[in-house]
Amino acid sequence: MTLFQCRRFHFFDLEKIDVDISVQETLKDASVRCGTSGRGCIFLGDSDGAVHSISRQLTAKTVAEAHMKGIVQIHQCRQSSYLLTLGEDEPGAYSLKVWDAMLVEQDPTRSRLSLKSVIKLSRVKPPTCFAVHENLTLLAVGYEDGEIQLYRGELTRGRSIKPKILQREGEHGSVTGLAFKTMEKSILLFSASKHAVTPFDVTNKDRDVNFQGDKVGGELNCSCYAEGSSEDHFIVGRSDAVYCYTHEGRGPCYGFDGEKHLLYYFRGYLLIIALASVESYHLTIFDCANKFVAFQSTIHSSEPIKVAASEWGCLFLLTSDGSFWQLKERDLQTKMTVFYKKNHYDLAIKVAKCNNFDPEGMADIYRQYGDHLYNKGDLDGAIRQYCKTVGKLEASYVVRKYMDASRVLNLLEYLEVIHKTGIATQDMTTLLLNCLTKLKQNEKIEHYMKDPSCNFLDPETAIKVFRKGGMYKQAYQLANKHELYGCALQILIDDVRDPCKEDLYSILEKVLQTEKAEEILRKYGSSLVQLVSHVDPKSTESWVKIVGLLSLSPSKRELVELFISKKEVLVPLLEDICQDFESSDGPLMNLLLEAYLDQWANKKDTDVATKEKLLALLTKAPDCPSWDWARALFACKMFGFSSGEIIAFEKLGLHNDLLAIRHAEASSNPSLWPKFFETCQKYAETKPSLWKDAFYLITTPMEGSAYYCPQHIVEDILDRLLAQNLMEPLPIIDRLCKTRLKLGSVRLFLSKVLDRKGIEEYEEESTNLQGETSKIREHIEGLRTKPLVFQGTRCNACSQKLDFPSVHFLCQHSFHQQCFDSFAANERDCPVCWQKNRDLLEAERADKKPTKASLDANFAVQLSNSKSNSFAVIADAFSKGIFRDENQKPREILGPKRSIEKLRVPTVKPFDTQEPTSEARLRLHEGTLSYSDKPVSTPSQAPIESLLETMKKSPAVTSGFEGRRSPISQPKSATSLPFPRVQSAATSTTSRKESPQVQRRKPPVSITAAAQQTVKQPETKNPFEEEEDTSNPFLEPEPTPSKNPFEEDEYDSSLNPFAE
Amino acid sequence: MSYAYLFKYIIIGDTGVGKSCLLLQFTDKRFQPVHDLTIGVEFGARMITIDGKQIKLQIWDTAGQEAFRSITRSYYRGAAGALLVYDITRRDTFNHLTTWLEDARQHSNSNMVIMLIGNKSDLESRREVKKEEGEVFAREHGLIFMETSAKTAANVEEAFINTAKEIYEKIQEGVFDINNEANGIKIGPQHSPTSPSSPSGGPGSSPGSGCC
Repeated sequence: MTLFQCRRFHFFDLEKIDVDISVQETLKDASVRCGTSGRGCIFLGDSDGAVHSISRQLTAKTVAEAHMKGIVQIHQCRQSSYLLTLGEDEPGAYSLKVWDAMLVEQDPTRSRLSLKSVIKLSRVKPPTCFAVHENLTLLAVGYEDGEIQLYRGELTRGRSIKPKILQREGEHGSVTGLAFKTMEKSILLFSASKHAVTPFDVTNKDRDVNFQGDKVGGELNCSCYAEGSSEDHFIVGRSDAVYCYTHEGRGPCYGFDGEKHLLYYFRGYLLIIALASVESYHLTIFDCANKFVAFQSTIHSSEPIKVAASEWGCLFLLTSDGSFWQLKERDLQTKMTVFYKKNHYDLAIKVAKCNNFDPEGMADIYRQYGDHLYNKGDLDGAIRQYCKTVGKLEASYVVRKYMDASRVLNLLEYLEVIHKTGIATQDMTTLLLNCLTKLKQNEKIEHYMKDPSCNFLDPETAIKVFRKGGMYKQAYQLANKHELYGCALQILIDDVRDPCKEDLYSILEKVLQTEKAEEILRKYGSSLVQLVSHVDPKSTESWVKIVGLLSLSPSKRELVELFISKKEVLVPLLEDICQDFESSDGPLMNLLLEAYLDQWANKKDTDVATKEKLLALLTKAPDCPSWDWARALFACKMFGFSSGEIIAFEKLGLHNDLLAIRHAEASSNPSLWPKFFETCQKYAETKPSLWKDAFYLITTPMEGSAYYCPQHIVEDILDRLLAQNLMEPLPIIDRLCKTRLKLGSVRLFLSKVLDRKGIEEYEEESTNLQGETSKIREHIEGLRTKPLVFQGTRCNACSQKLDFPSVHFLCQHSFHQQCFDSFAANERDCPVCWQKNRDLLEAERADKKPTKASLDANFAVQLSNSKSNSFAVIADAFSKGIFRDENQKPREILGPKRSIEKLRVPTVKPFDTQEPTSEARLRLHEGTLSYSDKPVSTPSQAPIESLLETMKKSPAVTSGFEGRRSPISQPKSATSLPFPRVQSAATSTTSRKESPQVQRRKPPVSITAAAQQTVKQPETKNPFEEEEDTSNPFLEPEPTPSKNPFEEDEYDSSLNPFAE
Repeated sequence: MSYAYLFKYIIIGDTGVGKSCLLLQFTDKRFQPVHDLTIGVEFGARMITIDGKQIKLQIWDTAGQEAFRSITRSYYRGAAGALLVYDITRRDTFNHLTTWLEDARQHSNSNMVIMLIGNKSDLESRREVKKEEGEVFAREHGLIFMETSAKTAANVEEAFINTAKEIYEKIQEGVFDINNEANGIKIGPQHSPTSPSSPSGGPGSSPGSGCC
């Protein structure tokens, strides 16, 4: 046996079928001679000439009595339901009958075959076999003596068909097998004889050609026609091997030795039955396509196997006596499992392909194969298998394996396949290129880049990898090729660093041509600028180009910053922008201004063009809302561009600065003095204080300057100062004294000042007021120090004669107690003076009340309104405490009390007081009191009157919130007062004033005693003291709980029906 | 596919020298490291172009094993060219060349072009047969010599094509009787000279001597 070399499997299950009784019954005494199958039914021909059918249920039935003397061969057409039988009807008389098996196919158990036609063979020699073409127009019959007859014509009609002899009897022996083969244009007939195999071309009726055949033949039944998927063969079995024939002669052969008994081809398998010994047969099923033995076994049978029929997915073998074997093929999955188990992956793949596996299934096999090879260490082989899984298997599975094994070459192979498939991810590309760079396979990289078919490289990734790998040239080329000029530029800038000029310019040009130019420039502009200036320091052309392009770009504004350091580009670009500026272009215009200034600064005197440009810009720029004058001014100052400064000052409204410039100019160039004056005149209309500035300017001593202000201008300025009351003459004169101005130029002014009226009037008024003040002072002094004699004999109220009890006031008004009680608005005030005092106090309060803010505002307004007497306004404001320190402690509350005392002096004039400072200071405290108290609630806002009254009554007892304080604290706070002098005066005043009050209350008592009493009285009798503490009606209601039914307090949780 | 000539080749040599791999490499341009042993004779075909003419090569790949010797012998006869293959890493395959050559000469027609091929030239490290030895053997026996590698495909094409060229030259020289198919040469369909058609072939005529 040579079969040990062939891989063998056991893909069929052999089974002897015992339910064959029916077959044997139908056969009776006859023996099976031949059989056929193909359309859902097995037909057998027996030695008695009967045709039997076997149904799927394996029940047999005789369907026809075809030939009286036995059937030689039976054939079932594949494409039609015709059944052909060749048999002996009478001794020496043979015929071929065509049957219609349609009905039998439908119901094999009942129907019978219907005869369609009969072809009587002309020869008496026994035929051995026949073959019929599927179209039923060609019939070949082989005879025992070796002759082959060919019948052409409609076989189903069967009339008048004349045979033609294809091959005469001869040394080749009896014909043992015939088969038609339909090719594209021709029909072949293969014939096997005992000693020869000959193909005939029977396409044409007239010309039958036989090819070169073989001089060895085969036995009867040992030939068959194999219609494989790949090749069509006429297979002839001989003792040494199985030979395949094609129309071109002998083809391959399979070395199965043994005397062949029967060959049968079914579904890609070749069944070879060889005689093993007497009564036993070797069964071999060979997979022709995949070259392996699918089954091998031995059958013991006393009767020869006559029929092999493939039907219902099984193979049936029948012996002449009707014994049955069934060969059942195992399912595909089982086969695959076997292949895997035995590591026959190549076979698995072949079989899978034959069975039209889906790509996923195939990929799985390839993967298993790959894994197998990988585990065996055959990495090269494995990668080849893995390559076939591309697209199905997760690539990382493979990549990881080969990364571990560090087999770069294999990995490369795999990755290339992946890329060619076009499913590569970026990572894959990166990996591939990394592999290449690692292996230094520059040619391959070049190849990839040049070969248009290798366009799988994602250029961006590739460039990235190349750059990482230091292959700048390749990266650059690739970038160029794929028109990624931005990238190319980046490479030049970052990696190459020192590229040749041409490269740079060409790429630049390309960049500028692309749509993305601005984007690229924005990205790389600054480095590009550096690079260009590095590579080609003298270049100007390219910049011109760039600017040209940039000016077309809508985003040129954003690009400006790139070229800050590159004036060649910056200035034209900015000019272009400013030509047609937008509202937000101010900063750019500023920039342009600075750029111009920079240019101009280099050659100040000669560069007229730039100056003109500057001026043009300055006149145009302010139209742009975002133009920054301050910045422009700064720039002009920096570069000393005075024309610009002037414009800027004008625009900014900084007229005094402008004036200063004009002055400076004039100082160096006397012809400009008129201009200086004009400037003054121009702007002083809206801003008179400019005259003052002008005055200061002209009076400032100039170092080294020879040109003083011309006389008429000085005069003019002084005139205006005076006329508009901008300055008091005194400071003017004071300042003039310090200058070197010629007396002549101020003479006029001086005389004007002196001529001004009113000096005498003022002096007079001043003395009047002084006199008045001193009177009042005396009066106060008198009140303070001298005893006062109440001489009033009449009640000021009823004008009746005064009698006890009477009330006397320090204002020399006296009343009957009764009158007073009924007449007076309150107990403390003199009813006569009351009205007057109240008015005074009202005025006082009105002065005091306004907030600081309103005071300030008032002050500003008044100051601006008072043209001539601003000092008076300031003094007034001063007196109102506008400049007071806010941080004064509110505790110093005694201050105001005293000041209030002072207020009672009717003619208090800030200007006339002899102690303006103390007055001011007092007021300071007063203000503090009123402001600091403001946010506090009512009791602390004690009305001034009540304050005053209590002061009158007693130094210790105070009303309102004062009263609530402990009396002991009173002196303490008094001593803490920062103005001891005033304080002492005040205390003495108050103590003085008490006496009338005491008298009023308890007339019989002496003053001193009254004083003592009053000191004590309030302590006990103060009606507010206890009341407030205990029964303040506003204190109580607060804690009083409202009767809110939902309040928590009232809620009894135990009553909650829902509580647990 | 139309062709001017069809040449039949046979590949012979000891088992395992890489005959099937050579064929596979030539016809399919691939290499299969694990190959089944050839059972009997296998078959491959490929078109090549020589001198502007399409030539179909029909190649029989025979089993190298002794057991199949009788089968393979029957294939010598119809072959116009033979590739006698040995394995440069196995000296015994080289030693058997004489036997093979005798076999071939005995069973083939005398004009058959035989090319000696030392296969597996990629396994230089394991070389046992020097190239010179192969050259000497070829010179002695009038063979063309070449070292090939079925794995790397080195010289594989050349081996087949050079053989074809040799045959083609011989045809031009008239050495081959192109009308005798037993020589392993067939003229393509469109080139076939109007052969005397025999509508009913002679009954006793040998099948091998059939006309085109």
